Amino acid sequence: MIKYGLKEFARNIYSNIFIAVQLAIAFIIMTAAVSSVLSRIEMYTPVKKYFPDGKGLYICNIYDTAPLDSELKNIDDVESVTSGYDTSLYYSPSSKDLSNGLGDDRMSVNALSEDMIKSFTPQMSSGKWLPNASANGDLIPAVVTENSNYKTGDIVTIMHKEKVGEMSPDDEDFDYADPYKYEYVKNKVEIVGVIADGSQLLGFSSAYLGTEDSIKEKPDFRDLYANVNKHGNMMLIVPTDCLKDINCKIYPCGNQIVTLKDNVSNERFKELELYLRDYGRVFDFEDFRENSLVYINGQLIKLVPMLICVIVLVIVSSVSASAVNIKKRLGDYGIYYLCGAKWNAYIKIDLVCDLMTAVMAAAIAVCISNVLTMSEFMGNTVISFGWLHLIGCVCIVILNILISLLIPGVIMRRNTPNEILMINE
Amino acid sequence: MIKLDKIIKIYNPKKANEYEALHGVSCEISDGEMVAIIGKSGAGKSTLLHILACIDSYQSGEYTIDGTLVKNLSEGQYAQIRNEKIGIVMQDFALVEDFSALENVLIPLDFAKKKIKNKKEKALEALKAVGMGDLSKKPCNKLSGGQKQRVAIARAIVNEPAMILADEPTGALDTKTSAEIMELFKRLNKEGKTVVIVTHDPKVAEQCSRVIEVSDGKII
Repeated sequence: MIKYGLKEFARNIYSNIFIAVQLAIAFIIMTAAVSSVLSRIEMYTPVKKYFPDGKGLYICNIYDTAPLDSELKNIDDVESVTSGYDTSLYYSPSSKDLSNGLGDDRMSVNALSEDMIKSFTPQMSSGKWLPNASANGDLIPAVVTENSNYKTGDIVTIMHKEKVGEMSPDDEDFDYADPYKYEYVKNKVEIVGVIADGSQLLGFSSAYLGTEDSIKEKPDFRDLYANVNKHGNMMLIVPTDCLKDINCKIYPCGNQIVTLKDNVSNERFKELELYLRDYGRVFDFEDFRENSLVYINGQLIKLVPMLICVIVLVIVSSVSASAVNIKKRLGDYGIYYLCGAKWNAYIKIDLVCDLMTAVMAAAIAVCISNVLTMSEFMGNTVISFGWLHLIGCVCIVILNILISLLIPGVIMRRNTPNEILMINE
Repeated sequence: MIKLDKIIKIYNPKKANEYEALHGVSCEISDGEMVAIIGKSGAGKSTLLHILACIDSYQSGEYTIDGTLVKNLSEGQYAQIRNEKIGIVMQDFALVEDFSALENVLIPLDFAKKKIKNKKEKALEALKAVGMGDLSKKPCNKLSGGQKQRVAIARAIVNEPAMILADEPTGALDTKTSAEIMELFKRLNKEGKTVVIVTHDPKVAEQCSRVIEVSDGKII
C-alpha cells in the first residue's frame, strides 16, 4: 500500500507541490500564532507569583532616591520587596582588566536575585543564562547584552570603592562632604552567556535600558520585562548572591514590586501608596493583574482571524487535493479493486500520499522560515518551535487528510465498486 | 465448478428507478470449460459476469464456487476471491496507464493476502506467457490496444487463478488482434483454466465450447 501511495504522490507531483506550498503557509501561520500565544503566556507565568491575590503596589521607573529593599521590608505591613538592581560595582566596556583604572566610559554592574534568575530565562545568543550556583572559585558568573564588547568566556575585571578610613582635614584631597579614604577593590567576573538582541529581560524596565521612552498608562506584566536590543544600554548582570562577600551597595532600579501583608487595612494601603509615590509611579496589584489579563485575552482574540485563515487555507488545499484527478484516481482504485484490493484500500493509499505532501510542506515551511529569519523581514522577532507548535501543525495535517479523503469517500459510499468501474470505462 | 441458482439482481432497489436486471438466472460452468455468454446490449450478460467476478452483488439466489457460497462474505473474503480464484479482463483493458506493463501485472501480487516471494519474476513470466516479455518496462499508455489487452490478460493470470472472466475482451480491437487475443484465451483454456467470455460477437462465441445466451435478464 505504501508503494502505491508513493506512486500516487509521484504521479501528481506538480499538484502535490502546489498543495504543499499552501500547507507550508498554513504551518508558518500556525507556528507564528502558537509562538505569539506562548510568548504572552511564557512572559506572564513567571511573574504571576509576584502579584499574588492579596494587596500590593508596583512602582515603575523608580527614582534614584527610592528606598532600598531592606528599608522597605522594615516598614510595617510590607511582606516582601523585589526588583532588579544597580550596584556600586563598575566595569569598563573598553578595558577587560582595568589596567588603567576606570575611565569615563565606566558602566555600573547590574544584579538580579536568585528568584528572578530562576523565574525567567531570556534568549541567549551564546553561552547560558546565569546559574543559581555560587561563584566559580574567585570568578563571579555574569551575562552581558550583545551590544557590549564582551563575549562568552571573557574574564572581566570589576571595581568598587571601599571605605578604609577617614581623611585628615590637612590631606590634599580632603572633602568636607565626603571625608573618607577609599580604596579601589577589584574582582573578576566570567562572562557565561550573552543575551540575544530581541530578547526580553525580567527585572528591569525598558525605560531603564533606554529601549523605550515611557511606561504605559495601564501597565501590565509586560512592563516587568525590558526589551533588549543593540540601541539600548549595554548591561553586565551578576547574581546578587555572589555579591555577599563584596562590600558594595545594591540599589533597586527600574521597577520595584512591594507585596503587602494580607491583613493590611484600606487606610494603611492608601498611606503606603502615598508614601511610595515619592519614589516613582505607583500602581495597585489589582489593576496590574486586571490589565495583564485584559491584554492576554485581547491577544488571544486577535489570533482568531489567524486561525480562521489557517483553517480556510487547509480546507482549500484539501479540497484541491481531493478534486485533482479525482476521476483518474477513482479509476485506479477501481483497478486495484478488480485485482483483489479491498475497497477501502484507497484510504491507505491516499493517506501515504497526503503524508508525503505534508512532509514536503514541512520542508518548504522550514526553508521559508530560514529565509525569513536570515533576511531583515523578521526584525528582532524570535519564533521558536516546540511541542505545542508541533501539535498545531499535526492538527493541520489531520484536518487536511480528513477533508481530502472526504470527496472520494462520499463518491465511494454513494456508488458500488461496479458503478465506479463503469464511470471510468 | 461454478454454480448459479436462481440469481436475481435488482438495480436501485426500493427506489423510483428500480430495475430487475436478472430474473432468477441459473447455470453451471464446469472446471476447464470455455464458455461464451452472448446477448444483445442490455440483456444482462455483463451483470451476470460482474456477479461471477464478485464485483457486484445480487439480491437472491445462490452463487457457489467449488461448493463455497459466495454471499454475505466479508469484504476481505471477496477481495481474496478476486485476487486468488478469479482473473478479470475488461473491454477497456482496465490498466493503470502511467504504470509500465510490469507494474500493472504486479498489482494482484501486491494486493495478495499471503506473502508472495519473487513477485517480479512471476510478473515477468506472466508477461512472457502472453508474448509481452520484451515490453515489460514500457508504459501502458505507449502500447497498442492488442498489447494492452495482453498485459491485462497477464495480470489476470499472474496469481494462477482457476477461472478467467473476460468482459468483451475483443470489443476495442481490430479483427487480426481480436484473433490473437482469442488464441491466447484458447491456450489458457487448454492449460486447464476455466474461461468465461461475455461477447456480442458471434465469431468469438463460435470459438468457445459452450454458449450461454442471455436475453432480457434470463438464460434462454
